[in-house]
Amino acid sequence: MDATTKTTELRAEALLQILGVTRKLAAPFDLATVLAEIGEAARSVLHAERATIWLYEPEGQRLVLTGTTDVPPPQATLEQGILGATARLREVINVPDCRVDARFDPAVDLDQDNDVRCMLSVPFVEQNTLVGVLQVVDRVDGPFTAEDERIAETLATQCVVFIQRERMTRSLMHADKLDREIKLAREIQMSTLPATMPRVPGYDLAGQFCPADATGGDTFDLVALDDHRLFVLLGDASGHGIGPALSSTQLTAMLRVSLRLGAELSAIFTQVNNQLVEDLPEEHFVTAFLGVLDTDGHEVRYHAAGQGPLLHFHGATGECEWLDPTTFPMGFMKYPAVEPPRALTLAPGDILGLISDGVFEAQDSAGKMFGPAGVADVVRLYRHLGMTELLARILDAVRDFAGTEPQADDITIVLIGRQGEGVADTPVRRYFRRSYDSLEGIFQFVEDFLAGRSIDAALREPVCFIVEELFTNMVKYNPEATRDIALSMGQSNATLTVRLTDFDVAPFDVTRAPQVDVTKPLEERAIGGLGLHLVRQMADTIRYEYADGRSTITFTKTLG
Amino acid sequence: MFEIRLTDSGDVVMAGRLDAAQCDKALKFLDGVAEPRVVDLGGLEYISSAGLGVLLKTQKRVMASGKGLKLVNVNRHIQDIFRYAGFDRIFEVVKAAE
Repeated sequence: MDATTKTTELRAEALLQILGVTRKLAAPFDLATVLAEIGEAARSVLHAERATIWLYEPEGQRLVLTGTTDVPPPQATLEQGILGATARLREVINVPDCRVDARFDPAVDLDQDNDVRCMLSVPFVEQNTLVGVLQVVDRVDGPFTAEDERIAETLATQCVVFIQRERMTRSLMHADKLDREIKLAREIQMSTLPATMPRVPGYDLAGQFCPADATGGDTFDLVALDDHRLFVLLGDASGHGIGPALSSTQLTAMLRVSLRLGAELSAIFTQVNNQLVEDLPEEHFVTAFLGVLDTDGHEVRYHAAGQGPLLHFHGATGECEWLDPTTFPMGFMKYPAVEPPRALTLAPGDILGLISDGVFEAQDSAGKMFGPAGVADVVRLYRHLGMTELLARILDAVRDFAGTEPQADDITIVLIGRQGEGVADTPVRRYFRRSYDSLEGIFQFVEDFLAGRSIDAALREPVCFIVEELFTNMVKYNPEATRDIALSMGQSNATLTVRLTDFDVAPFDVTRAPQVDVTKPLEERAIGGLGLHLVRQMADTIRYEYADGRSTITFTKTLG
Repeated sequence: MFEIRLTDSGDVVMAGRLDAAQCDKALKFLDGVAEPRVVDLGGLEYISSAGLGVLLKTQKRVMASGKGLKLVNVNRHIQDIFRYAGFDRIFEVVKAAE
């Protein structure tokens, strides 16, 4: 057998074994199994007596032996032996005779029986980062060759790929676990929010919490204390993550318990604050609005602990007044007693707006903030739509303003609107998928609304007719649109107001659809076009508005 | 729920809610009846404009052979819609007994 043939044979054999290792790397084996496999492959393909793999731990700047049952496993510094030199230099070291190499250290260089002759030591390097070292000793037929070096390097490369993948998987699994924990914390946090708004005669209430991607610390609560008093909370725990979520959840829980015990607002504030000082980690605090609305005198007494600015919209003048916090955030420092609560009076048409800083601090791509001015613009424009709708418009405006900028912070808004003359009570709003299959749910929604308010059932079919017509029109004529269609219903005095909103669409003014001459004989009657004609007949008023890609159709029916 | 069927005497009976989602079913059924004559709407609670379109289409087909649909047992609400739509002029409409 000449030298060339031998080399070819070795290559083929090596390749086969390397491929075998590669196949194993693709299988979901654990790290220890695969390292043992690579070590064995290296030993066998290089015709060596022993092979070992050391992994590098950057934290301790040391190499740790794998494939050993010793606890703890043997370790080596980068100063020790040929092993350390390989790691330090990140170069293959081929030692024909260890006994005459000054770097050789029997303690780390595989010298189990004090008989090591030759050694091949190969670093695992990934993008200039040391991952580990492969050591092979005592080749059967003399010192390791240049060919052996290449084979060992190939194995090392495979090894690096696997180790990196395994580490990435592990960190992903860890992140996934964290994700699930954050989700759970989020669920707990969401579960403490009021599921429905309490009904307060003469008032229109809305509250919404829009979490940012990670768990944040916003919360709100609205609790009817008796037939004329409503407790209102908006809280924002500092920071992000599970901690703040739990802080705000804890705040809500403590307040509810205190309220149930009948404690007075300032006493509650003091005690919960002092408790939070003890419970919260240093540097953590909660900004909070705690208030009680008494509908007898339309007075809101409140503490605004670092929470502000608060919006007091004056219905009579259309002016937005911004109120400052009354004291420091909760959990900041203990107070023996707190100042008496501040008070404000809500006149007919007034709105108290509690808005978390996620709204004010929302930024556009140029870094400009939405600010109180942004809120004021929306409130002045849409305050007549009722609080639920107004709240939705504020959120829309914040989103439009931020554009593609991600929502950086939780956003929470609570709006308390005192009804003026003829102002609608809290409308109910729901979103429906753009499909005829949604009709059943729509009819149920209409029926529930009417039944819930003891509105004459005879209105049901005409209202359903109009809603169906408007809804199916939106579905039919905006085939490109993808967003759900909003349907809201509200009642005030003797008027039923129904509104459909279609998002991201071109304008289509249903009130301008051509008239249909219903007196024409059959042969001249078209199949289509009848619906909108009927809608105009059946609705008492109908209005079409278009802004920002949003078609809004509002119709009313007078209640008999 | 929407139901449509033929009685033994050949009348078409509609019941439930004839909305846009049910129109295909209604039209397919009516197209399968060669010469519908009486359509009993006694059990029909609701009809949308799409439902009116189904009746109008069928009426056009049937009228071509000289006869027309007779819509019977029509409730108060649907009568109103028929009137707004001018259906009282192009169909024979018989009100439900009060």
